[in-house]
Amino acid sequence: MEIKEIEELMEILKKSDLSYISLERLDGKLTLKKACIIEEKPNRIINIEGYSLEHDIINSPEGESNIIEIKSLQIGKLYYSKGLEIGSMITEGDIIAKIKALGVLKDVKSAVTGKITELVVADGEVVGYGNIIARVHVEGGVENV
Amino acid sequence: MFKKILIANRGEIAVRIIRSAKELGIKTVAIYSEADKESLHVRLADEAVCVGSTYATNSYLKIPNIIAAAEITEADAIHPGYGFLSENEEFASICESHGIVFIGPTAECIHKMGDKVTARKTAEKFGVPVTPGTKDLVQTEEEAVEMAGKIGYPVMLKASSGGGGKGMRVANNEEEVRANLKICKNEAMANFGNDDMYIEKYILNPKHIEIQVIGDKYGNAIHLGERDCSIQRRNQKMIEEAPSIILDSDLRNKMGESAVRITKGIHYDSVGTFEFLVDQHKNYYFMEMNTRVQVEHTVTELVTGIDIIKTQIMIAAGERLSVRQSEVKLSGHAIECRINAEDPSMNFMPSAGLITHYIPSGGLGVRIDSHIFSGYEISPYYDSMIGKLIVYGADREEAIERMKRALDEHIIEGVKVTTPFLRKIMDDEDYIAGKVYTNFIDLFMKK
Repeated sequence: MEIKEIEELMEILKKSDLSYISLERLDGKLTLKKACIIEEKPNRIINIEGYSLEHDIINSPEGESNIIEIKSLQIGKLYYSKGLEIGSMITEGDIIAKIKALGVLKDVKSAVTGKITELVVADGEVVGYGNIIARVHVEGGVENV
Repeated sequence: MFKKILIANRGEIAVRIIRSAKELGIKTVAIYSEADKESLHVRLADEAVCVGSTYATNSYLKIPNIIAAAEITEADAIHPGYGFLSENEEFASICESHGIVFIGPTAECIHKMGDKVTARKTAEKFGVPVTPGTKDLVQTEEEAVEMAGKIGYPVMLKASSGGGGKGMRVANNEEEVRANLKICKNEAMANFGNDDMYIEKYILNPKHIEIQVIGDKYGNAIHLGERDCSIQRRNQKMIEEAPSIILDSDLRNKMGESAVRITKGIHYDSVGTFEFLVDQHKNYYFMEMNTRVQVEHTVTELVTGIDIIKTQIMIAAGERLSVRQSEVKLSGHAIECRINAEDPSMNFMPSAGLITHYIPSGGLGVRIDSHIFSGYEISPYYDSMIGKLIVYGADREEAIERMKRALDEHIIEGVKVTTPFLRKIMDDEDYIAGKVYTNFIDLFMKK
């Protein structure tokens, strides 16, 4: 199988709702899996110092990769912490953003230790209750959260 | 005029407000709970902010979240709709202190008219009749007879701690006062451990008539005639119409003037409704005032041609009332049926779930104010009213025929709705004859 063919299959998988593609041919067998499957319902709420963070837990079928979505429970304008970018390592309790409303800046602290995979909103953008702020890759599985 | 308003409500009234705002060239911000993410008001508004989780106490009633949503979206004003925070004077003051206009009366007006006892006193102060009754408790039999005579028969003897019909008797003359007072006192003592009594005028089979008023910030006030809301089930209105067939222009003017007198007297600067009971001798008694827009404002809009929501927004923005009392003309007849997701055969139990199929009725003289669509999921967490079907006709007869046709056309599948029940009422002889009093539904259900 040519590398180009595999790349095309990866592109198809990426755009689809499928979680994996398995292909068996005379020249061999190939299985492509998405890194994660999104579950719709939030299944965990973590409170840190009175500040509530709600998470969607995202799993790969084998539990190899675990992504946690950090959601806002506040309404306001969001500003990420300076220097925070995709790939940044964060530790539980780190302030990842501030949400400003009614003249008050409130900290958004991470409830997990892991690597930022996505900063979902633009800096200064309005976030409502339940809006996803960031996605974090957590090493060792969500059971560690 | 406002540039952007936030609508602190959901359902059909949020949709209704967005429509008027759009016609005024005002941008809109919807707020919603997590359960209402897919709602029509969220889709129709220019912006939408989720303010909390499903329960209204965590979202539609959560004042800090709503104020924050208004602030971050830079809304100039908040329209509270009806229900939720619409008659909350604290919310009105908080809006003001954040430099956001509350589209409604001042917190002071809400305070003056929001509480029934205070409202009754205010009405009396402006010479508007209230249900006659004793101000203090009646101590002796002789005192009861004297008071009943002053009030005028028939009277209702009521235990102050009473409820559920216990400790309550109607008395048509002096003998009955004496006899029933003893029975009531015994009943009250046995049931509530307290035999304090008071006496009120008994209004036999009244009609529930309300007057729509509008006041501005410059002391101008008008009324837009009446609505007959006598068809109620457990104090929840089901069908409303305008005008009422029992009001002639003299009584309409008299009741309208009473309402306007209070409106001006308390410097009321928004839309509001005065609710009255009207007895069979056409005496009217003030019950309470609603300091907000009513569900049934639509029938008044149809017979006057005045957009009540638009007027309310314009007044809140500081504009003067552009209509004089002499320019208010009532024409034709309008009827509104509230469509509830309820099962009439199961004692009107709410029926939540997915609307699998929806074909709204239409045609000349039919208006539908609703937030539902095919594929909409009715949440069990909020009010079961899913829409209002309103018809307009040249006269009451035409309006009834049109309502029958519109109800027959109106198809909602997937949940139980009250449409068939309402349709039966349209065929009821007493309804057609206008013999409709507040006990109508009780009698209708026994038929």
